[in-house]
Amino acid sequence: MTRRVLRTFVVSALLAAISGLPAGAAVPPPRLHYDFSTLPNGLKVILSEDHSSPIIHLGVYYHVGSKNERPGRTGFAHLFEHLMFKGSKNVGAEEHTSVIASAGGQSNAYTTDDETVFWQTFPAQYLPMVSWLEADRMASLRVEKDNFTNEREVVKEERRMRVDNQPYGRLNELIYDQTFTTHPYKHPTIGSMADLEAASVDDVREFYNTFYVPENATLVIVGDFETAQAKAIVEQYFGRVPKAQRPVPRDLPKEPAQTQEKRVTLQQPWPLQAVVVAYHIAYDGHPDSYPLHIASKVLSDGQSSRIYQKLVYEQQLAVTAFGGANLVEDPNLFYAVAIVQPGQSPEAAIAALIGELDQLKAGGITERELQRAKNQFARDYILGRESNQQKALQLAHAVVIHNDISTADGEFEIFQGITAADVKRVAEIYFTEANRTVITIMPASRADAGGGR
Amino acid sequence: MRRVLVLVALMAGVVPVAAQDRAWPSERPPRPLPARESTFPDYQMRTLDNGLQVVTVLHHEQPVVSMRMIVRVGAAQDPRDRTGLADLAASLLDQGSVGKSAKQVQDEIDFMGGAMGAGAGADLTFANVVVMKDSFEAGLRILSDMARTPGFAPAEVERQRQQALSTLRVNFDSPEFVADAVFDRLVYGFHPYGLPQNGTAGSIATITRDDIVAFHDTYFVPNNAILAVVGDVTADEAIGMVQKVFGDWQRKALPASTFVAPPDPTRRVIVVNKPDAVQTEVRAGHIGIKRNHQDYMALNMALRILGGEGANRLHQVLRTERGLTYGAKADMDTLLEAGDFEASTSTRSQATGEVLRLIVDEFWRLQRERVGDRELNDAKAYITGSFPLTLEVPDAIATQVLNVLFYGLPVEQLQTYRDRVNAVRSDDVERVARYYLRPDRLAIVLVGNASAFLPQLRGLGFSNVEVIDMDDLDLLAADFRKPGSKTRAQVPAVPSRRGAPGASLQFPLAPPAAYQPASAQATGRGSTPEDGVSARQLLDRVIAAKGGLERLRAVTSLVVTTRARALGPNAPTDMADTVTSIEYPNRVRVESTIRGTDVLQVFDGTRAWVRDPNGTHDVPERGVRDFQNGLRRDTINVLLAALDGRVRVRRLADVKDDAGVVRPALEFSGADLEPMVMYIDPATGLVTKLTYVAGGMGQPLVEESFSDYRNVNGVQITYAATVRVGGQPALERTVTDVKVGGALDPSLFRRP
Repeated sequence: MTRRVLRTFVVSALLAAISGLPAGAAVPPPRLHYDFSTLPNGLKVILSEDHSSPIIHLGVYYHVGSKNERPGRTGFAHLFEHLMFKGSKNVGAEEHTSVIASAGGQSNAYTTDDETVFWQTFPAQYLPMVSWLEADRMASLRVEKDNFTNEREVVKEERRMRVDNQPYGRLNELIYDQTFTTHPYKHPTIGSMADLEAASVDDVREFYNTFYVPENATLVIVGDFETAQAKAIVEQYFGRVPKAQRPVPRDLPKEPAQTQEKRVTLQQPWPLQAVVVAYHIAYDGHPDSYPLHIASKVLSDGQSSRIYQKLVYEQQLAVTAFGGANLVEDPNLFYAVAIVQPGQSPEAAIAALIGELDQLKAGGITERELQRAKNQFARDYILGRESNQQKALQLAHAVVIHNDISTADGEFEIFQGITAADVKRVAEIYFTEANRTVITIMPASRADAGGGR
Repeated sequence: MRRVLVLVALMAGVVPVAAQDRAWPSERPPRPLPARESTFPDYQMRTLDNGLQVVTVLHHEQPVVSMRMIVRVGAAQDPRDRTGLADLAASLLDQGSVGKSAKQVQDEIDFMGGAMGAGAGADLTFANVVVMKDSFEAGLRILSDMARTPGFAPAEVERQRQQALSTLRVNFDSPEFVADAVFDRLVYGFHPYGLPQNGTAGSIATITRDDIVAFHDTYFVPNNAILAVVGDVTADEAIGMVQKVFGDWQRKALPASTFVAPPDPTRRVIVVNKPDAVQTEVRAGHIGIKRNHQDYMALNMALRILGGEGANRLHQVLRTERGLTYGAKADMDTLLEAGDFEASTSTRSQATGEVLRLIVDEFWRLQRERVGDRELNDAKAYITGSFPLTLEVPDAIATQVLNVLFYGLPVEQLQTYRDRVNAVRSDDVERVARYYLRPDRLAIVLVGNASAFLPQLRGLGFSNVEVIDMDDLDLLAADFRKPGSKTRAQVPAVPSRRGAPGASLQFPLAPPAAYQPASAQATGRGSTPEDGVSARQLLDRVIAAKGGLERLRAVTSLVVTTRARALGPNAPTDMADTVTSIEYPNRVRVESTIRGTDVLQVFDGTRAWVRDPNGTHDVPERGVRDFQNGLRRDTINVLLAALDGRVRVRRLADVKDDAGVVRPALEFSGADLEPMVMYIDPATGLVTKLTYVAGGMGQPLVEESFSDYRNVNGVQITYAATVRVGGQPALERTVTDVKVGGALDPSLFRRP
């Protein structure tokens, strides 16, 4: 459930216990209410009424992301996401956005390793129109060559803006490139400039016909509607999208187990040194993923968490330091990062980070830390279910990634049952030397960096 | 049939990528369902006896309570030599209190599954706590400790100081951050909104714990704060608990804040050179209005059309049509004391010039062309329709109420928001766009690899570009340069794609020679002016040099006879003979002869006419403006107007002439005068050069250089001048006769 977005809250351990606080269990959140069904063409539909505000959130989650790209076409899933705004049979280029905007709605899309998500939030009376718009591009996308070329330039600008022109913008890219050998998690969702340049309109057609089919999509609608009426609207517009002719391919290369520690030093034109310690871990929903999530919180959620306390607060080795499990559809990484305080050595920061992970194996976590992590989990859980969009995200995630909608509510109980022994057990499995990659990134001089990228 | 369809599609360049496309129906979008009721949700407001304003928004879906305090103090209250003080103070609010260490309070909040945070903006400091409902009182007490009794322990101060310094280092590697900071300085000058909110390495190092404690004592008082309690509690519980926890907070008088006014908008282009950048961060805009302003709604609409959500011409032009950027927008930043208009985007280095030109064009278009009803209605539909989206979660509702309280707006505005949006008409947008937007005076900031785009700027007519290396950047220096850093040449001289249009275009209708009498003076009584000489002192000096105030006021007319020659590869070789007669302040007659043809141009103060071999014609309005502008730029006119306060004058810092020599310079600007820079000989006080852009931004810069001053009836007049347009030589002019005298014959200005 953690995205490939690092939490910046940091955290630590070791506090003198404070008396007078409730030692109790987390406050239980209300359950989500929903109606879940599958249309004859394979489209999965989740409807969840919420009448607190006269608005609706509608999302279409396609189960395709950058890990489904073929070699030489990295960045394509995301480029394709942009092309979905370039018109379909009854909708002109960019009209999707403008039509929704003139109804007072907002719309956008994003792509991750695992999913491509199109969403809109709008005044409730426009549910028929928004459903019609999404169904139109699911069934009849059209791409003009000029638009395609133009949009490819937009995506290249997006890469420059988000990655190439930001201090530390390439950090994630470097980590995954160093740690993965085979699985497509190795490459970044935004892709490489060369691959973007190589993408063609033929690729668009093939990708669309393969992945943008009803049985590969989950429609989620949360907000101010009556379920029976919404069902009729969904059947009317999405029901007529033809069923796919062939199954959606799901065979991805597996990442072989890492058998020995890897240490590497790189250069980047960044202002301060950075160090990374990374370990391969299990996928989201694996029994080990829950203790790993608890371990992440103990290490790095809040200023009382261990990594923050040790590296930032006490030893002042790092300007910032954080870490956590990236729990996604396929096995991914636990990694921790420290931006080294000027005057401190990267070696000391690495040793401190590894020390914290080893400490999980040697000493485990305290009962107090366990309870704190559970309370923090409950907070995230509750604050992550306030808006319609957040509820839609939880429901869709359960269906798309876990293939089990009951996990949208069920994980709360699983987490409350995790023990300190579980955390120690998974630490011993995953935080081993052989499974570790250590990366040191030194500032390159500006002159070296110019034009080289 | 099928084959034909495919062919047609291909010829049109449209590729249906869907296999099933043909079976899919052609149709219009469905109609909306009946609209649902939407009202502003309930909230309560109370003010405690000690002055603390309290807002409660109740919401019972999730078992959580969020508490947000706003204190009316921010970076705007930083002492001038302690920038970053408000920011540093705010960063310490969650680092322990008088009764608890940082570790204790952090453990407490984390263990209860809560979160806390604090920070400062230009006008405010915030402190937030969110907890589960069963920890409401404990959470409120933590918030109270943050606001009322932060510990400011010396060790914590040092930690946060180190953090602040490291953050600065990383920030200054971010082109986005640098572009925003330079833009603010450019627009707000040395008004606090123009100064770096998170300080400088120098100021952060200087701030003491005593400074922080005094700052907190002065401003963190209940009558200077607003508290919102949002979530799963009852109104009685909320108010009762706030009274219990905050009731004994003592009211205290506050010092008045006084600010220098931000400068008038001035055309200025700053390039921050970062050779390793792959994109250029682009900012363009100028001073705007404060939040509590009568034209807020209409201007907000205008700016949204330029680059806001639901409209956005910039996005259309830069991204959708040309693929030059991932995103472009325009914002109206409105703070308590002032505000600004700002367009921003980022683009690949090579496209910088094109992007800048397009942005400037869009400012002009908005200022000059009336916004059509359809575009306006779309923008209004978005704003009114999306209003309920901004009220979805309880914290968002609280934000709306807090904004109204904070900016001192009428509370009823929350209920009437959509009506007020719908009341904005095209006329209103046109009025405010004409009145407030100054596309000719945009402050422009470009952060990127300068070598990739500087030549483009010259080609586009952006001259006087100030280039600063990233490592030399100093936000507190008037010229943005660290003292002692080596200065670079301005835009390198590269061949312009425009030829040298100046002369040939201007002949025969309005040779620049026409109303350029001269500048002059009795030689330097004063010596070199020291730094810090005010604009007024320098102005006085120039007037004295030109002939003295009394003498200049007595000049009622000036008749100058010149010979001029156009320069440039395609210019005619003929000489033009011209007699220009000015009757101050606003009449001019120009008789010129070129290739044996006589042309007479006259402006009588209201109308203008031309007599050429084809007869006598009225000059269209645009041409009339050219006459008026020419007269306003006349040296005597502009000096007296500035002295009388009809034109604003300010001293520029460190302006260099072509030879790289630092010369004092004044900039003149006013409602009817596009900014003009006057360069002054430090030895004599005489005007050596005038630069200006006639007809607005994007037009080439005109540079007129003067020499050979002679005394004519007590006034110093230049006898030799050269004119460059867009960096290229355009005209060379020699004076053969000058009369400085009394009234002219009225018939000279009468239309035949």
